[in-house]
Amino acid sequence: MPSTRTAAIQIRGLSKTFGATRALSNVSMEVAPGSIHALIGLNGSGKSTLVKVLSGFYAADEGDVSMGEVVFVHQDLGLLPSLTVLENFSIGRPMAMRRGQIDRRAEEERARAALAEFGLEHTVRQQISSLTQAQCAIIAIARALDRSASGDVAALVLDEPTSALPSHEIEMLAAAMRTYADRGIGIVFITHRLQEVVDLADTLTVLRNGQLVYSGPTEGTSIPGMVEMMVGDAPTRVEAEWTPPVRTGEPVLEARAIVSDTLDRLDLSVYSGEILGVFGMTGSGLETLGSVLSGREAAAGGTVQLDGSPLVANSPRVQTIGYVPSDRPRRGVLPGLSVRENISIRSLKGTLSRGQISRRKEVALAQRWAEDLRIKPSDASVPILTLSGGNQQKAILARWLAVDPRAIVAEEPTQGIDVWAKTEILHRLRGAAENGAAVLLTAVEPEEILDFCDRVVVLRKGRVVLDEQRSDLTITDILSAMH
Amino acid sequence: MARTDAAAQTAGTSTSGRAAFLTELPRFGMVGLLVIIVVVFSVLRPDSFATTDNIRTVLVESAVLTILALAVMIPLIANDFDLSVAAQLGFASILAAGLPGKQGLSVPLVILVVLAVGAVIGIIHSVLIVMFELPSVVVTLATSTVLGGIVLWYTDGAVLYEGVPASLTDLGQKDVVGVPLPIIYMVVVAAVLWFILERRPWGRYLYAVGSSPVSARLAGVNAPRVRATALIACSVLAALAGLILTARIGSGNPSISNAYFLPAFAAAFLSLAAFKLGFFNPLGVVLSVYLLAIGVNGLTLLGAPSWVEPVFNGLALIIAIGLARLSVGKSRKLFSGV
Ligand SMILES: Nc1ncnc2c1ncn2[C@@H]1O[C@H](COP(=O)(O)OP(=O)(O)OP(=O)(O)O)[C@@H](O)[C@H]1O
Ligand SMILES: [Mg+2]
Repeated sequence: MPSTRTAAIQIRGLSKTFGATRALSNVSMEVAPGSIHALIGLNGSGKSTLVKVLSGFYAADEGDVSMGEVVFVHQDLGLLPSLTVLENFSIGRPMAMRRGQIDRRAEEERARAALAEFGLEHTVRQQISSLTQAQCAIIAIARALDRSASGDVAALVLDEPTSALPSHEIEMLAAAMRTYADRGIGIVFITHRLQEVVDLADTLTVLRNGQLVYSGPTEGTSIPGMVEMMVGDAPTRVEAEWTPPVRTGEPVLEARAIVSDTLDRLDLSVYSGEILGVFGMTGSGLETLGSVLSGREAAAGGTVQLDGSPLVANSPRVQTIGYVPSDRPRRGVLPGLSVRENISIRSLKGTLSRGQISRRKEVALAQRWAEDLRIKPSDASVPILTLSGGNQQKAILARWLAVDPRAIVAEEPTQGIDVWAKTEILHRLRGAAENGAAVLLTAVEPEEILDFCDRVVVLRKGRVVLDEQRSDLTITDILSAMH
Repeated sequence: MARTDAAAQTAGTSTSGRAAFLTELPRFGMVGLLVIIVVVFSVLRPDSFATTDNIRTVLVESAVLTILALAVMIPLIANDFDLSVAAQLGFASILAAGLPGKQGLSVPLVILVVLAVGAVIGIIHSVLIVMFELPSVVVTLATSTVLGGIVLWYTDGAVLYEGVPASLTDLGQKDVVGVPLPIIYMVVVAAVLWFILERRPWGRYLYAVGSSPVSARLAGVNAPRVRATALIACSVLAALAGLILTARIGSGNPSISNAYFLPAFAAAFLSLAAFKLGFFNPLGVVLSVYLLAIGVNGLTLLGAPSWVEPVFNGLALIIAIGLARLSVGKSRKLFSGV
């Protein structure tokens, strides 16, 4: 069968609408066997919808698709959190059997081999919920690659595989993608990091508002050119100038000798008015730092101080600290509730008039933030889960920006957010700092947010190994401190 | 361009009134069903069903059940089951009859003690379920059995009807401006609950905890406190329902609670399919109780035997869950974050 097909995936005239939203209109594209194809576009431009039509999760309104067997990694990864890595590997495909029983040893060998490429074979018996976001992303991808290695898989589709990954893991992933492409598999990947497109992709498709803008070779396009294609003639915002703040007084948030499974007597302070960027590789302690400093998780030892007095985890005082977790689907969004309710959950007290929530004030608040952060659709009454991934992320950030918190701790704040909205959000965080908030941002990939940081801290093995003003540092200093 | 598009989109949805009307329609499906049932029975049994007496009876008979169903609904919003509500109602009802009769307490004191006992049961539930994180189904199944045992011990299995003071039964049998008191209690409870759930931050926090306990906690919602308050409110309301029951029937019956268990849960779950689709909600509960009660009442007047009632209630529960899944399941089950 595959021999009669010239393209790994061929899409003609695809359209899909949700109510009033035209998520895809008349999109045609083709992925050649053995090629790496990038799919780009702003938040809500229809990329994930396209993937979900291909995977059969949505039926298209119009158009047709012809393709062989295709393996998918969706934006939410699709791992079952309460099961182990091994069980997640085995589920959904025929398992190795021996005398009428599941051959556990063979299954484990196979999973280990697939994970070894990414250096994660030691996680095979761990539960998914105990792993970091980046590890989960790698595992979901390794699982998909494992499946595409067997049988005659024609294509592999990855929806934002790299958004939570540090650069060295992206390199491993890139190498794996090339290997699979060399075997003749067509690979489609969605990304907001345009440098990856230049580095990796042979061909490129650009979507804007559900419409096809470009589909062809990557060669001959440039990053500014891609941005222009994605953004179109939309108005760009004037970027406000800012001067680095002068740090004064006592820290707002202070960690003193924090001990946890990954943190080793960590000391760290964040001051009013500054944006502190904290970087580290997976396993550096970065993944527990945010929840401990924001008072969401109690540490095994040490204290966190908020404005000079000890902060008890999950006490009412933690409400003055904004927290944006990196695991948005499971820990950020309030599923089932609307965008408005997701944004306003912390602002309800301010919308009270005569003892009751004023619907008018609440709608106005949510609507204003939806427009300011370019959430699409800007109608905040829709359920949050109907928003695209990047737009959900904006809503979670809006939740905290709306309340002028004393401090904001945001893990991977820009994950899944397009280039266009990213600057907007970082400017808002700057605004919060200018209003006196202490802002701490964490990222496994420094380049994402570095330009907006005043001070940089690098973690390694649970300790601070670098703490300097950003202006004194180069990206190489940071990367070498991380490794 | 994206911005103008988005603006056009919202404008589009608000101007196409027809489409808005169609998407709003399912929310009122159960109201329509109620109207149809009422019309059908009125046509079939004009002189027994469609009489003010019969309507009054149905309304009064179901007032206690409505309060109990509203009680069940509160912790359900945060995914906590209180399977002991019917037992709590029975216990409160026995206390309300026994405390004045056997122990000679005055009526105001009886009311206070019964409600306080309800609060204590709620606090015990909160400690076990929220603090020690034990599964609510198991905990309340256990307390339900314990309460049943205490009732047997206190009553020896006999109905308590001696010494229930008139000042207590007045509270359940009198009218105020032509409206029976139990109906007034029910309306007040439903209205207060609606206000708290829809118009007070606490209500929003409760729904947030129900949607994702982890996300709600990380958003700064004091999830344990919200859940504990919900369990306590549930128990106090169940006690109130028991109090009103005794006031209305003038006695305490140790085996009366069984009849309340399933209809209370059926009505709570049916509310998922009315008004606030996919969410437990007080107006939906009131509507559901009366939909079930009128259905059973009409069938009885048509000559259906008594076994029809539990069968009808049980099937309604399954249909309720099915309807809820159909109308909203989707927006909650979408791949998140994609
Ligand atoms: N189930 C749904 N119901 C209603 N609208 C939807 C649904 N799924 C997607 N949409 C809308 O379709 C549009 C395209 O969404 P999609 O998820 O494809 O965007 P995306 O390009 O993947 O964005 P991102 O980069 O943020 O992930 C958005 O406006 C989104 O709100
Ligand atoms: Mg997407």
